[in-house]
Amino acid sequence: MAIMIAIQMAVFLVLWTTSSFRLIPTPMEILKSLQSLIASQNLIYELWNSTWLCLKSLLIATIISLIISYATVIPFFKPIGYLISKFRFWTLVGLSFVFTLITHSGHELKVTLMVFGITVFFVTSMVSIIQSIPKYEFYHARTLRMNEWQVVWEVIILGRLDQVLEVIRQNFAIAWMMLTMVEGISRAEGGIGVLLLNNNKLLRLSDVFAIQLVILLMGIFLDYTIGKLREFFFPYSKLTLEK
Amino acid sequence: MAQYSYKDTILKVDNVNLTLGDKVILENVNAEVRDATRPGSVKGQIVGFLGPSGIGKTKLFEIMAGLLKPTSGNVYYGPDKEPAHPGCTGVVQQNYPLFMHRTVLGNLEIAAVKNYKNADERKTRIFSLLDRFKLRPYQDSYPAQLSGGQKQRVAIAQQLLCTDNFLLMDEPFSGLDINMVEEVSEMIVEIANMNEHNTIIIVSHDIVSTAAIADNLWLMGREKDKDGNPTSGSKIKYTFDLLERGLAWREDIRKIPEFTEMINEIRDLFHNL
Ligand SMILES: Nc1ncnc2c1ncn2[C@@H]1O[C@H](COP(=O)(O)OP(=O)(O)OP(=O)(O)O)[C@@H](O)[C@H]1O
Ligand SMILES: [Mg+2]
Repeated sequence: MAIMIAIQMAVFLVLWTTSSFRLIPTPMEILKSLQSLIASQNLIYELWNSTWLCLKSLLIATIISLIISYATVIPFFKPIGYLISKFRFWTLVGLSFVFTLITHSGHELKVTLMVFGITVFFVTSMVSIIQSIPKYEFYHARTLRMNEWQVVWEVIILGRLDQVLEVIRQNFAIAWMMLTMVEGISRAEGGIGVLLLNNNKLLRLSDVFAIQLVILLMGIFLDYTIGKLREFFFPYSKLTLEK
Repeated sequence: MAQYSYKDTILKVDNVNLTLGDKVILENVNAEVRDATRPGSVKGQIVGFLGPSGIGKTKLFEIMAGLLKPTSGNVYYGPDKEPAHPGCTGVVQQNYPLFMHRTVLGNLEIAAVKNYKNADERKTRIFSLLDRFKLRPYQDSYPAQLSGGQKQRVAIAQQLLCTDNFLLMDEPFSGLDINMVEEVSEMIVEIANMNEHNTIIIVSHDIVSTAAIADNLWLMGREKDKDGNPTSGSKIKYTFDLLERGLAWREDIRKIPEFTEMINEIRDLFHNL
């Protein structure tokens, strides 16, 4: 597997460097851009800034989403879960105006937008996981003399905790995608998205590519980390899969 | 012939009806289990519950376990006629679900806390069951790492730790090799005979293995017209009292000609269920 990837990467790099299609910067140009971005435009700091924004929003959204999702097992709260999942189709652009009115700072605005964007997807996934739990699992818990609260705790919460991490992982990807857009809405605080937009406007193509590469690699790294966390905390979660 | 006599009714299925959508599944199901006693020894009850696939056996179990509300009718337990409610009986479900996020030991622990408050006593009981079911080497495995038969044994052990007198088993013999069928059969008899009021009801398609350990048999079926089309929901159409026939509580049961005759009788009845 590793060898296969290495070969594919090598072929790709050769094609890239020798390509006569001059619009795309070469790897060397990108490396040089990277160097100057770090030295003069504070790339590392902005990256940290954005990552922090993303993870903070993800954490808040996870807590809110789990509370809402778990609440939907009580019939009274079911419509709320349903409603929230419909908000996925509401674009952030118009919403940002409303949120500007109710938040006090650029940072708060960005966090609010991100949390909103993540929550609508998170709740959707979580509610569908909860609703697809087969009846016999509840029966099983009830025959063991658990009361309804214990049933919810054992079957819905503990029994599906490993899947929560998978949902977090998917929503991290959504959040990471939203990040540059949200940072564009409120630029005061900077962040890697702002860096990207500025260089894009100035048509510094190799800089733009360098930043995108950094965003891509950081995203992949964090995604991998969340995957590893799942394996670490929930060793049983992969046992039924083929690999 | 074994001496026996029937005492109190300890389980009663009283006119149970179940309609799902516009489909009548169960119609006027009546059945009872009476305390069978034998002078000088403790005898629990084992009922074999037979019937074709899709007839409604699992649904009746769910009703008896208090998990599913019947459209009408009742199920009572004990001499005090306590109505069925979740937890009143152990149920080993057809697909033997377990808590996938807990190890074998964890699964048994959580089942035992209600009945065994004392941690040492709990441990002793759990480990004796683990040994009994040859599960000791797997105590730290997750259910996903077990074979079908092993999972089933964990599921049985789990219910044994939790129930008082009643145990409903949906297909306890399916997916087991012949040694394991014998092992599980012996175990069922042993559990039944641990207390005079213990009652185990076994749904199975394995008529011989079931009849060999049962003292009563229920056959579920539907009324049919002349062309063999069902005209009603399912009910307990026939019952066999094996005590009366002298075919219960016997080790050598499979060698008795009358036993074979009865099995053939049941096989013939099956075509009309
Ligand atoms: N939700 C439902 N709506 C309508 N019919 C249902 C529903 N669930 C089950 N049934 C029907 O109820 C009948 C009885 O099902 P049940 O599972 O009790 O059968 P069974 O006797 O246990 O069969 P098997 O031996 O194959 O396990 C079946 O014919 C099934 O199609
Ligand atoms: Mg069934």
